[in-house]
Amino acid sequence: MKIGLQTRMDRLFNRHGDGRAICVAADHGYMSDVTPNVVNLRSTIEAVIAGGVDGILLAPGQALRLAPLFKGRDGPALIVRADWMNMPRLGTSNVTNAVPQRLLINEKVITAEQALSLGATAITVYLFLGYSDKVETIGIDKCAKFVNECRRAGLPCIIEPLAYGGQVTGANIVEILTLGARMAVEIGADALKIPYTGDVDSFRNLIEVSGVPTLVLGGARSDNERDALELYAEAHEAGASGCLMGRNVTKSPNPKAMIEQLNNIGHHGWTVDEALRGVAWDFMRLKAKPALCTGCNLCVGACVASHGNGDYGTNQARLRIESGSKPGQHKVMFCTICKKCIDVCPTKALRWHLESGAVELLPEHCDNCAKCVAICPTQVIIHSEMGLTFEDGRSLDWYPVVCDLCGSAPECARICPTGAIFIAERPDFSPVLE
Amino acid sequence: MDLTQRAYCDRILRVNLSTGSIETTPLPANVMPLILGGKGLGAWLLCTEQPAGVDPLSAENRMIFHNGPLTGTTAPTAGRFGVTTKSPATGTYFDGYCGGYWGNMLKYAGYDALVLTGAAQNPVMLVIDGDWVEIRPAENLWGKTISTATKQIKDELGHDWQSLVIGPPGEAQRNLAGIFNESRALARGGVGAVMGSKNLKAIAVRGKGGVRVHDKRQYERALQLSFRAVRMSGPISMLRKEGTANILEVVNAMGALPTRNFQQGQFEKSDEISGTAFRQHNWEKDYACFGCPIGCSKWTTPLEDGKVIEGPEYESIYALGSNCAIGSRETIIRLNWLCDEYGLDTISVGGVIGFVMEMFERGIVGADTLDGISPSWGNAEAAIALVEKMARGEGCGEWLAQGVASIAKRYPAAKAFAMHVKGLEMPAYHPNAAKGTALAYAISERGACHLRGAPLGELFSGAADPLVIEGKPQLFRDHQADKAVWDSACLCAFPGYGMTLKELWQLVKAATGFDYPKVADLERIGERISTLARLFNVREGFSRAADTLPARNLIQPMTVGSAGGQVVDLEPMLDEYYRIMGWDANGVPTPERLKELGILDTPGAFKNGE
Repeated sequence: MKIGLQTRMDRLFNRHGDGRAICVAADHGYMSDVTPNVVNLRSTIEAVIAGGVDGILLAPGQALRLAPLFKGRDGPALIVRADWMNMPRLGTSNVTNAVPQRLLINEKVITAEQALSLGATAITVYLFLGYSDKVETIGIDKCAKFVNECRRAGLPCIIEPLAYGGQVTGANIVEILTLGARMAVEIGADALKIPYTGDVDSFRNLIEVSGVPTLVLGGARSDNERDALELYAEAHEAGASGCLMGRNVTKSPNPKAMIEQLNNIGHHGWTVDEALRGVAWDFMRLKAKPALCTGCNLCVGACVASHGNGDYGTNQARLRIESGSKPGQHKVMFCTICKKCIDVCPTKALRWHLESGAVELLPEHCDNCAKCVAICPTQVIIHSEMGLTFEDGRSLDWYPVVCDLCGSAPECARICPTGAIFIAERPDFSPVLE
Repeated sequence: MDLTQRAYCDRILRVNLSTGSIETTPLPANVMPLILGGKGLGAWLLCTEQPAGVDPLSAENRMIFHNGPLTGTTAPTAGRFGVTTKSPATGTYFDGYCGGYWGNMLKYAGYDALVLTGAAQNPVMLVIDGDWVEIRPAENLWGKTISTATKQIKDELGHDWQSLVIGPPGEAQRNLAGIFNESRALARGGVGAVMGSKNLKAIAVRGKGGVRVHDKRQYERALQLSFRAVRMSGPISMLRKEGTANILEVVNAMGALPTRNFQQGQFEKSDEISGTAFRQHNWEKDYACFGCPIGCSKWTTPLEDGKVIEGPEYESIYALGSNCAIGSRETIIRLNWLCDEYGLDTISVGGVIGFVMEMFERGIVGADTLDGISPSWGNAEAAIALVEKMARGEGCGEWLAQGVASIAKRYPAAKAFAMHVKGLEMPAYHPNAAKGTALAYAISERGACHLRGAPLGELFSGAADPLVIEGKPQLFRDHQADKAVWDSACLCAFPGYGMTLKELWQLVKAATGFDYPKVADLERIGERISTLARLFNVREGFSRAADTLPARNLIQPMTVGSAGGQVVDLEPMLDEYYRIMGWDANGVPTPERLKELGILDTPGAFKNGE
């Protein structure tokens, strides 16, 4: 049976020979909402397999129905969810089913032997922390029984410690998760599925304390896909053996691309930026969807904080949010690289920046005639607050401040919570020096 | 220690409206690491500078506006600010918070706090343009509604200005009057009446300065972690989708949605007024306060006559809806519009209408005393008429706008169901169905409040069994400390549904550079600040006797719903809470505990109080 265990651990963690596994959790229909990602499970699973996923977590019934998609030994590993719980029903994610619950219920639904017969490579079970001692005792007893069954069957047991109970606070959550990880290993977990602790150092410590392969989970989906990739990249840096992410992949408009991006980070060592774009852009530009703008001005704050002396504020920003004519309407005013300022400049002080493709000011050519300020259709070229003095003694009491695209990594687009301002490729452009 | 390098402006603006004196003083540098700013600074200033027993509507009452160290940065919801004063509604210490776009402007103008004392002879407006501060006559604004006054100020000063204004009820010093930054409000406890008592119609501010954090690299990293925690949170994505009203269905299912003046905990028309229903039929667009990645508030589609509001949020829906048995979204929007336009607190207005409706149904008041209005349950026209009376200060509106506690004094027969604590009308969670929240209402330093650490997770995230009292004092104590820190760093509570105190600690540490080795150090700050507020109230004569709930909660069991049969067994929870906090049996903090919290060691603290 030891050989069986080892073979299955390899199947899960060594498809790429690097000890890492990019996995998807798709067991949500089992206990939370029947959201589109759950309804369209088959197409989602097909997409993540096409993206090269290493393992998929399913509830037993779906494991049976979707077995043909796993295509034998070369396919992804099947991980079976072996217990059920009511926790998501206590929360707001499923209010229509919310019933006054007095206690957490956590039930075993399948044995290790049954999971094996479904073709499982591993099973996962929850370990709830931060509730009452009673809940914790029941959880430990259940995990211990699973581990014993799994040992007999040669099936890896992945324990998933979760810290959601009423005792969990910001001051103790890392401690609870770290202890939970160790408790799971003491019970006999072969691997862990666990939430990220929020920073690399504490997660590295958690992994060291546990000493078994650790898969980081994703949690609720962020509308900003960068978040899930960054979270995984950090867990990877901390020493995680991969991820077992659910909603961030299955609720994505493109689950296949998400898996490819995670693969490129996990198996190929790409950075988040490289993974996000897939291919390198030569040049980028800013674009906006004003209908998505809530007027929060985070873009303006981020612009100011990344320029000048680095102080936070809203003065001297290179973009602007204006109120529209109706309540709640906004206009996003930013540099559209329309080139009018470059064309109007009588002294050739403005040109395309060779690397970023943004408008660049050559201050020594500038005689602050303000023609660029006047012509800018979005009025985002502003007067600097401080002047400049050149080596030859000439000085400017102000100069035009233009958007520099933050050197090809615009902070405004990065911080925007709704995608109202975003970056896009700028094809067919090359900055020619005249 | 140069506080300007630690995310502060190191300036308190002090304006005496009686003498016209305007000056600035530095922050109490040695105290700042102990109180952080925001709520902590407000509590410290009120406790150390205000003598005992001041009449809240007199010139001696201080009105302290404050922002926090994180205000004005790109931290999630860093536009927030607060006000601390002595409330005319409760007679207690009182603090209120508001989003919008005013708090960051005060910071950019170069001030951590604005302390108002005195009272002007005639209506005035305070104009703050960075270093330039001026008290201007404001007769032309007096009597104007919120939107008219706000627009007039913008037209006069420019669109890069932000203003706080009060409406006619504030001018008339009514307990239900709030202070408004356009569509956002500090509405509770009669803070608008305090401003009105000073003849101060508006505070306009513009600033062009910046905020310098102690360790920019560490701060940017902490920001990244905070934003991610916010974006990867299920509850926050629900907030974005359906606003605060997203919880209405679950609170109703738990039997905790106050209905018909707290007679029931479930509303038969809850489906009509849920977040889902508002999203489907009435909401057009999301609204965000300054620096907020969530955008929980929503702009409505115009009513028949073109009226548009930003809202209604969950508390207003309960107060103006289920609490009055009103199940029409359009009526709730109209009532909310009236409150926003005239400058009234929606929670307290709804509390008053529900209370008057019950008194009317029981025959305690009749149409004759209500200017011919017959407010039966769910009567939309009557509710609108009553709010209009309160808004304009006409007839019965004049005494109704003084709040539930004041009305109950006129009609002692209604005392058992006068739903307030210490004079503040109750928010949207039925105490009988949520025992930790019940304790929070009884204890909170500003009267019945769900935002001073009420463990609401017992209702909607399974944090604990809502119906048991065991463990609730500890749960409340932890939440209370936590919340005081958020209010002192001065962020909104909602990022806290994704972030924890840990992320906040990372932000605060990087911004201020103060020596906080552990997350728990912040909890201690929170407890210190709550204790300061308690000490102010003790000095004003409040103790255990005032930490109570209406008879409807204590001895009248809920008759129906999933919390049927429940009452609040408050006394054991009080005993346990006082014990955990190191307060004596009468609810007074012991000298030993104060010493542990470093309060007596704080120079200047309580020089008036001892």
